[in-house]
Amino acid sequence: MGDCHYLDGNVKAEKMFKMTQELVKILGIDPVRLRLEWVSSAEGGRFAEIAREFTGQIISLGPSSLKQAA
Amino acid sequence: MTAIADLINTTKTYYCLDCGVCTGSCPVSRVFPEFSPRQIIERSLYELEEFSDHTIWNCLTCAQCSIRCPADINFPEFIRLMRDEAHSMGFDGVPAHNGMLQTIMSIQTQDVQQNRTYWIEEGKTQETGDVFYFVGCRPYFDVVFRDIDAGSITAAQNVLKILNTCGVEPVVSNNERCCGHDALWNGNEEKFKQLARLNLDLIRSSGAKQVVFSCPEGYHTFKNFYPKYFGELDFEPVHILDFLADKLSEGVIQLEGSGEKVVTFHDPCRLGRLAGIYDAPRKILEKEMPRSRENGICCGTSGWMNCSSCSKEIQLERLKEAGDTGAGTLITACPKCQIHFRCAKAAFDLDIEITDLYDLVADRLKTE
Repeated sequence: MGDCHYLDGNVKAEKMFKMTQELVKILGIDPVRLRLEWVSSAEGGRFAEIAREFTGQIISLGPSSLKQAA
Repeated sequence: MTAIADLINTTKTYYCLDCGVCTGSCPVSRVFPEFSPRQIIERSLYELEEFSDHTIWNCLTCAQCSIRCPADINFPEFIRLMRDEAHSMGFDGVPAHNGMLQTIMSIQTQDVQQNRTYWIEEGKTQETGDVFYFVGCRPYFDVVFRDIDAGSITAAQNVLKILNTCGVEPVVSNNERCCGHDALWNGNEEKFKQLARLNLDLIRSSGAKQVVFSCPEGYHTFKNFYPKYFGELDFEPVHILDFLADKLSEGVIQLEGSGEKVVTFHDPCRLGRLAGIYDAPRKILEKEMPRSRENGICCGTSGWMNCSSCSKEIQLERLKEAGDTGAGTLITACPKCQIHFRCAKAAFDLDIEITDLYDLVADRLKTE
């Protein structure tokens, strides 16, 4: 933490993530649909791998009950 | 006839005397002269106003103007109807907090199984019963505004404690939805109706005859807007302050004196000017601010929209006014007033304490 190209960007991101995680639970949305991973801009391969894996996981969960929200 | 001319007819804005009391009274105009209720009405009457006018989103709809208007023009309602039309044309205000709160409201229009009663610890509640406690958005605010130490949920726990002390075990439900107040004042009538329908179905299925509110916005919306859109309610909306005043006069509960702590009260616009509740909170008040009751100033932002340096200026002035009375604590009875003032307190590093009325009441509740 703190080792961010955007200074304290990752600190803010983590704070925002934790808050969203709590909100998602209160709203009754499955919390596994939300994930935080740290990927630097130099790690294209890793980014693609995580995105592919997470997309696969969401597809296997199927659509959530929220269709037209937000 | 143009849409604005229609609005003028429904709200009888043509009675405007052009006296300017509205703009003279407006807390926004004082800090942001580009916003003027009088000019919005004048421009509308001369067919010069447009729905794209971005200043219509700056109105706090706090009703300081309309309560003083000699022609009895309901300017907040005029603005609400303007926003409805503007929203349908694709114009909107600037949502505060990146629109997160509007998203939370939208999600609640959907078929979701919320876990919003997580805060009930020792309180006694029931699945069905005569009294429903409508908690409102506090469970969400408590998470979103933790960084300014808003303490939103403590007051809900205390309201439940007060109800339990009075011998009431209310229904508190995970299926409660946002009351729709903000959707209504953001110009999103459709979203309001979706939320309201879900709440009405829920209350009907709980069998409640009374619905108790501790949030002025929820109370005002249920009491005045739900019947307007859905006809007469089959339950009675009761504000906890009226409920408390009754229990105090019946001697069911007693409050202890304040001791060392001196407090002053900030009248929330929805509680005072819009719902007419002024006297009940004053039973525990020591110091009155110069601008109180009908003249109480708004907390600076409404409907999670257009929060700006102007809002901060209004809040700072209000907190100074509270401090000048000699009180060390400002009491509010609205979760949003509390959030806005605590935000300003943190931003300007002020000394004054800001406390929710129900935290104070629970603290002074005499127990056997």
